[in-house]
Amino acid sequence: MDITNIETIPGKTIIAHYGLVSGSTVRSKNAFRDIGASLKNIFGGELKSYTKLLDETRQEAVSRMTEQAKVLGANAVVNVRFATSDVAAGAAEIYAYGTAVRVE
Amino acid sequence: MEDLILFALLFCGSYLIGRYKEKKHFADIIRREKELLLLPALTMKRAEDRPVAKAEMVTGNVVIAGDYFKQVMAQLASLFGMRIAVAESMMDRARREALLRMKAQAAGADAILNVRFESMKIGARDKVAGVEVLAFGTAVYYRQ
Repeated sequence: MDITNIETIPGKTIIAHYGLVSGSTVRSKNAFRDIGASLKNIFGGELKSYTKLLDETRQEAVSRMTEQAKVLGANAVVNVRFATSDVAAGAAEIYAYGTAVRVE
Repeated sequence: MEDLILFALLFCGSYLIGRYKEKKHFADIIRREKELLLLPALTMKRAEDRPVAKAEMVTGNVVIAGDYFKQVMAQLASLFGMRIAVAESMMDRARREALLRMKAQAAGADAILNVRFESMKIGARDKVAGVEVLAFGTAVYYRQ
């Protein structure tokens, strides 16, 4: 599955468009107590556990999006974007969306 | 009185240690930026008209937390509507780190197109607790 955040897959030709595909994941912060603890971390710096958590969450959203594209018969997703929203206190949604296409 | 001593200790301690950690991080960022200087990160969607062998999306993210000193300074500055310099350096540090991680993922690429940044606030709503920055773009590998 080819994924880009521009309108084309450079070096390939788009032969069919299948429309919008998306994937979302909602993660609550409470489930990861160590994060709350490290947020109180008074000396600042990178919160590695949180970096990893958000990276995994985003990858999950992307894989849900590509699953959806596969079902439609696409072999690439172009113009992918990310959005986040606060759905509830202590929870965040990560949303990935793009256009499913078939390329050659 | 004890509260005041605790506050002073936290304030000074977090200033010294936070500043030391930030300086070290910036030195590391500058070193890695020099190493990756030949891989341009562009904000446009096409660069050179050359045949492309491979294109893929690359991402880099980082979560940076502010220290206690920064939180106090931010609260003070927002009383008077001043510029929050301590938050500016935190954002700069997070964006540059995210960009570097994205570049590291695109090892061997010729350029990264359409680079975009997204940021998300982490932690309590009324505090400068921390920030997540995501950098993403499309890495292209030209045909040799």
